[in-house]
Amino acid sequence: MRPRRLTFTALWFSLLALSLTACSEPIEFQRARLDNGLDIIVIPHHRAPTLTHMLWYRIGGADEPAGQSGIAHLFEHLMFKATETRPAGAFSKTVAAMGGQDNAMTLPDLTAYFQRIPKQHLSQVMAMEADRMVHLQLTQDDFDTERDVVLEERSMRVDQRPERRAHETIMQKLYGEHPYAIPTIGWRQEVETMPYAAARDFYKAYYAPDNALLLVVGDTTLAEVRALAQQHFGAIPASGATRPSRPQLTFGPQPTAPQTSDTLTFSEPQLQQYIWQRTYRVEPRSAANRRQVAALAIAIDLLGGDSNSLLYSDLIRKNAVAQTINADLSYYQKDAGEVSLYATVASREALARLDDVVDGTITRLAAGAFSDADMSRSARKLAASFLYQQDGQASMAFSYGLALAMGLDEQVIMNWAKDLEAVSRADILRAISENLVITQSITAHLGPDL
Amino acid sequence: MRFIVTCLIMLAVSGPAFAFLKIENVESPQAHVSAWLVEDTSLPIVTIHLAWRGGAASDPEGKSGLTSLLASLMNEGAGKLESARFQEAMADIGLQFGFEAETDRLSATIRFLKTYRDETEDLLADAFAQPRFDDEAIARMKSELNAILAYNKQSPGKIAREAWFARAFPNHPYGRPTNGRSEDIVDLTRQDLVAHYANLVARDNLYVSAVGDISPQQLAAFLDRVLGALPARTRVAAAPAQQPTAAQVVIQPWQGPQSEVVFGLPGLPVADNDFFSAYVMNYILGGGGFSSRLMQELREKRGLTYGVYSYLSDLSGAPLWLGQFASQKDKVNEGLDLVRGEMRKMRDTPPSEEELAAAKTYLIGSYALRFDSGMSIAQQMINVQWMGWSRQYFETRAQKINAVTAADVQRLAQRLLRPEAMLVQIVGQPLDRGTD
Repeated sequence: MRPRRLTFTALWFSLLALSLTACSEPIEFQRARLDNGLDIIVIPHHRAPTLTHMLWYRIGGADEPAGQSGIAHLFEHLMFKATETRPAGAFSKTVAAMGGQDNAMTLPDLTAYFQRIPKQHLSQVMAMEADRMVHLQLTQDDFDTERDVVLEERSMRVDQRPERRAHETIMQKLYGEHPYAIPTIGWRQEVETMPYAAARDFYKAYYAPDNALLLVVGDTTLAEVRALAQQHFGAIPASGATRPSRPQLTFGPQPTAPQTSDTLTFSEPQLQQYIWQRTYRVEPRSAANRRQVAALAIAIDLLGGDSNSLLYSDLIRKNAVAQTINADLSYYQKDAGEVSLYATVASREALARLDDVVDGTITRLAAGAFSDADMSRSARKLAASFLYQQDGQASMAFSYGLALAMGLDEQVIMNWAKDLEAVSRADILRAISENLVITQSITAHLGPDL
Repeated sequence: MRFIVTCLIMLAVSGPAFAFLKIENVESPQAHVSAWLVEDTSLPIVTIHLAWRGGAASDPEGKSGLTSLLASLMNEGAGKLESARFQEAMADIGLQFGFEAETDRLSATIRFLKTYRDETEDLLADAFAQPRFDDEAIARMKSELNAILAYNKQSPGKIAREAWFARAFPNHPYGRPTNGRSEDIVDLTRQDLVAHYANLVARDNLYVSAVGDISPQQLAAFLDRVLGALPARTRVAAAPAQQPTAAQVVIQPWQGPQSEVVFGLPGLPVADNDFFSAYVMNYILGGGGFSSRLMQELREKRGLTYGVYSYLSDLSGAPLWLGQFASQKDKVNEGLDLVRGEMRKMRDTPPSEEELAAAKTYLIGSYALRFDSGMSIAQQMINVQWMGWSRQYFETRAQKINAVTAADVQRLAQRLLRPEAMLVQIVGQPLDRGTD
């Protein structure tokens, strides 16, 4: 129901976590590239006479000039304004009139525009998408209005929500000098004072065919999509655009550092409960670490993936120290994956005990406190949930598109079930020691009176 | 392929393709549970959706939260399997099985791999015939429910909706929060759960749909096996009809940059002959994402909000027209004035033919998007059964929408949209003064 233009932040972790849960049935990825560098991927899916059409630009919230946080997302809003041949709002209106839905989202590394449409309208949406890649007519008025809308969006998503405000601070600490420390929706003050020129410069620098991936999932073929893409995008010249360079993140154990997690405390009178959370940054997913990622996925599921997990058992079934727990592994960023642990507790006293209890559980996991049956149950469950995900056209477009646009080889997705099956006990123990590195985590305590 | 692009005549009238489904009606031979099935062998999985009339509104007086608690316990142990063993057995076969309580509806979703159909039947037959409701699990689920209540109290949008319903239905089940009140939840007992399960989860208030790699015969056997032990008749009554409280603006304080605004009026039941006229009218006013008049006025022209929308709600005892937006404190009344103004405009002037045509092509064409996954097809089939319509609905829906005229839209606006009678709930601290 909530209207669109989404900024992907913490809220989306769980959704995106699904994206690592890859396949057991063969999915087909068909690839092509235009001469101007536009990458094309088609995933045929013939359940309904509909398509999900997505254009992923390889630019996002982590690529912004200093002092202009939020420009990638604010600019995404402006993409719905006038072009040389279409008035403001015409894009969405046209899509609606064809019985389609459209929206967009900004992530740390990517900006995606998408339409879900009856299949006969593919050419028309592609024409409009190509049109706004180069012919947007920005105006100061549109910029000012949309900046206000984004500030309202920020209020709604972050400033009204104490746990989201805390999340921003946690990310700052976790990523330090790396731009993942900066929220994609932007710091309020930098959005408020954003100059109009920033939008123009951003558009010119990064919106080009050789900086984009066109993904179509649904009732179509590569031949059809390639021909239409050539027709609509073919004449747009390549720009040579690349994203700005970033500091390198390091991963893995650091024996010299003090072996503790930095802990932040947030006292927010609006909170009605106590929250304990910890986020680790882990090595990003790639073709080179397939097996490790599969092992880590099983490890995190064993740790806190469901009510069969060790954390659920230790914190809820045995001790009733927590009310809810959750553990997630997600790869929604190019330069780092994240493991998030989250628990809600009913009292300040319980919150104070949680560091020790969770650390004890992780120590048990690292010592191999799980049976072979537990391991293969997790692997089977993860493989099944991947299969369920293929049940939906849009869900495939979102999660596979995200991985592919970050540059992940489709073989990694296609072989996921095999990789899960091949994981050994030793793989899991290694994945835990190499990824759940306490010095690369931030722990937070939230409550109304801390 | 279970979709066929069809109906040239309709295409001529409405533009986009209109897809329909090959739905089979399946009735199980022993328990006489009937279901709508779309057989689809493209993936080796099956999705089954179940829905019972009687949700949180059927919680007995003083026992709010009972249906929600019941829903959370339905996969927490059955037969010989205590909670942890039952959950392991589910995960072992990749079975997803969970319940959800809404105001008027208790529903269950089952997703399984076709290879494990027998194992799924075994496990679910126990879940329905012998749910355990162990004290240990009850305590755990109460604690989880309390965490949900606390979480919701941190969200001004949820607070505003709940406050609106509390104000609109002061002495009626619809005025209670769906997840219950913590002071009631603490006293709920195993006996309460056993009695409520026996009263609510029956066969005559049940709707079933299935999508996936399962034949009609297999589905019929599945339903007999899994649901055969349910009582024939439900013993919960539908919520009594009730008009919502009218003509008030209520402010509840909240510290934060924005205020949340929920507004609403009586709507009309889906059985009403004018329902589709109201549906089109609402789409034009506030239902249509970016193209709606409210979105244009509040967001696109003025940047007052990130989103504003309105919708028709089909509560059986109180059909409603509801809307919501959030805005900076000094813009709340300006936004509310604009909402009232657009309601009046809708009453005073019929929509243009272009606007009406755009609404129709969207409402007809976008329907196909709701059928792009097995899960959503199953949900759509439940919704259509729930409204009391036949399988023909998928074919006649477009005609009903196409038949709506600009005069119908205006007539429905005059019938429903009464800005002066609106109940408005604000959560926040509005600072500006409105003109109303």
